[in-house]
Amino acid sequence: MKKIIFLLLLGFSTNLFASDSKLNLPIYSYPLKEGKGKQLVETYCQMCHSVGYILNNAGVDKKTWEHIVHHMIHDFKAPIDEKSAKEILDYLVKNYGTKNK
Amino acid sequence: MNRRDFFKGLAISAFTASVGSNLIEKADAFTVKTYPITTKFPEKDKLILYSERPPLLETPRQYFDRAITPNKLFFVRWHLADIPTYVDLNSWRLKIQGNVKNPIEFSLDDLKTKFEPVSFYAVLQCSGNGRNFFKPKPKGIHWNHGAMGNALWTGVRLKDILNYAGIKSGSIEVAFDGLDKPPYPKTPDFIRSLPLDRVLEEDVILAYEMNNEPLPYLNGFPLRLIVPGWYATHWIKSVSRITVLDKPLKNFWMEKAYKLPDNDCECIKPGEKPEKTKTITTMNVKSVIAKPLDNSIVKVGEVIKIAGVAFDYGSGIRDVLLSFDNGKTWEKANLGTYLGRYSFREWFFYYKPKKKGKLTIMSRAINNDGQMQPFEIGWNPGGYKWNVVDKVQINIV
Repeated sequence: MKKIIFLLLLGFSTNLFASDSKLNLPIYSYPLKEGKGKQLVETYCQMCHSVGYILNNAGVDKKTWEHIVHHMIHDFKAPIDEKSAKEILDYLVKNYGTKNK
Repeated sequence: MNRRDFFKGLAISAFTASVGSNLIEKADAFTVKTYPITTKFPEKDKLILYSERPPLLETPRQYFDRAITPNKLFFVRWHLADIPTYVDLNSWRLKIQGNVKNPIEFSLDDLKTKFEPVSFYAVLQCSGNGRNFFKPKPKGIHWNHGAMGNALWTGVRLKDILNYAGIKSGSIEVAFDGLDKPPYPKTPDFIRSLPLDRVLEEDVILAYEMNNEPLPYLNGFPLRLIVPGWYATHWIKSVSRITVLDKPLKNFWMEKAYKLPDNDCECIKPGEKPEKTKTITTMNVKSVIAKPLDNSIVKVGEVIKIAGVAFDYGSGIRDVLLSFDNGKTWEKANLGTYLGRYSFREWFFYYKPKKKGKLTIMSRAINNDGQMQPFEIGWNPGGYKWNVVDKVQINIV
C-alpha cells in the first residue's frame, strides 16, 4: 500500500516538475531523527521549507524553538492546529534542543 | 498559480517523507554540525548546502582570497520557496506604479536601450552573515563567513526610471516586489520598501548583469536591486514591480523582520526584548581571512600566503592589520587593487613561521572613517552585523 502511494506521489510530482522550467533544482532528503512528532514535522514544516532549516537551528533552547514555531504560525500563517503545534515543539526541543547541538 | 504551488509543496513533503527513492539526493553528510558541499545546483559550483527549498547556499571561506566572487561561487539566499526558475523575457515586464504621473512598463531591452548603463563593484552581504559566531545562538540560518560576495553590477539608475515615470509630490518610499512567491498563499509575500531619498541616489541601480553576464536565476535573474553599502535584505531579487508610495509600507517584512535594537550598541542581553527597534541598513567594517584555513598544518620555515578581503559601507578600506601575538602587535597587510569604495579590497601577507606549535592569526580592518573591527560585539536577536576581528589557528610542525 505504502509503495502504491509512493508511486502515485512520484507520478504526481514529476508531472509538476516537468513544466517549462529552465532550472531543475535538486531535492534533498535530510536525516531527521526518529521520534514522536517526526511525521507532523515532515508534513507541516516541509509545506514551506526543507528540513535543512530545522537541522541548522539545532542547539537553540526551548524558548527559541517556541519562538520559531510561534513565528511560523503567526507571521508566516502556517496552518498548524494547537495540538499539532505542541507535538512539533516537543519533538524539536527533545531532538534538536540545547542537548543536541 | 499559488494554489498549484501549494500542492506542489505538499507533494514534495509527502514525497521526501517516503523512503528509498534514488531520484532524491541523500544529504547524508548533513548533521547538525556539518553541512555537505553540493554541486547539484544548476548555475553553481561547490557551495555549502543548508537548504534546497528555498535554496540556501554558502560560499566556502577559501574563495574569499580574491576581490571578485565568481557567479558560480556566489552565495544564494531566498526567503520563499517558490522561486522563479524560468522567465520568458518576451513577456516579462518591469512595472512602475503607485504615486507616479505615468505608470509604465519596461521590457528588459527597454531598460538596456532607453537609459544610460552604469557599472560598479559592490559587496552583497546577508544581514545574518556570521550569525553562527554569536553566543547564544540566535534563531535563523547559521551562516559562517560565506553569505557574502563581491561582483561587478551593471544596470540602470533607479532615479532615471522613476524620473521617466514622474514621481508625484508627497512620495516618501518605494516598494519592490520580486517574482518569488510563498508556497502557502497566506504567507506574506516578500515585498520591501526603501526611503525615497536613498532610492534617488546615483548608486542605487537595477542590475541586469553580474560580472558581465546575465544574473544567475539563483541570484535574481533578470533584474536585481543594488543598494551598495546596505545589507542584502534590501537587494530585492527578480524585481518585477516597483510601487512609489506616499505612506510607509506596512507588512510583516517591514514591521517585524530585519530589525536591530535601536540603541548605541544595537544590542541587548540575550533573552531580553529591545525597547525600540530600527531597520538594518548599512554594513560595518569587516575583514575575513580566507587562507590559510583553520587548523591548517604548516612547516617551520615554510613561507605561507595569508590572504583575504575587507570592506565596509562605502568609506573604503584604509588598512588591514594582522597580529600573530593575540593582538599585542599588528603588522600591515598588503592591499590589492582598489576596485571602488563598495568593493571587496583584496589583501595578502607572506609569513614565515619560526617555531613549532599552535599559532593564531588575527585580521582587523580599518576604514577611511577610522572605524575598526572590534574584539567583541553585543548580542542582538537577529544575529546581525557580525564583524569581530577575524581569527584562524594554524598548526606549525
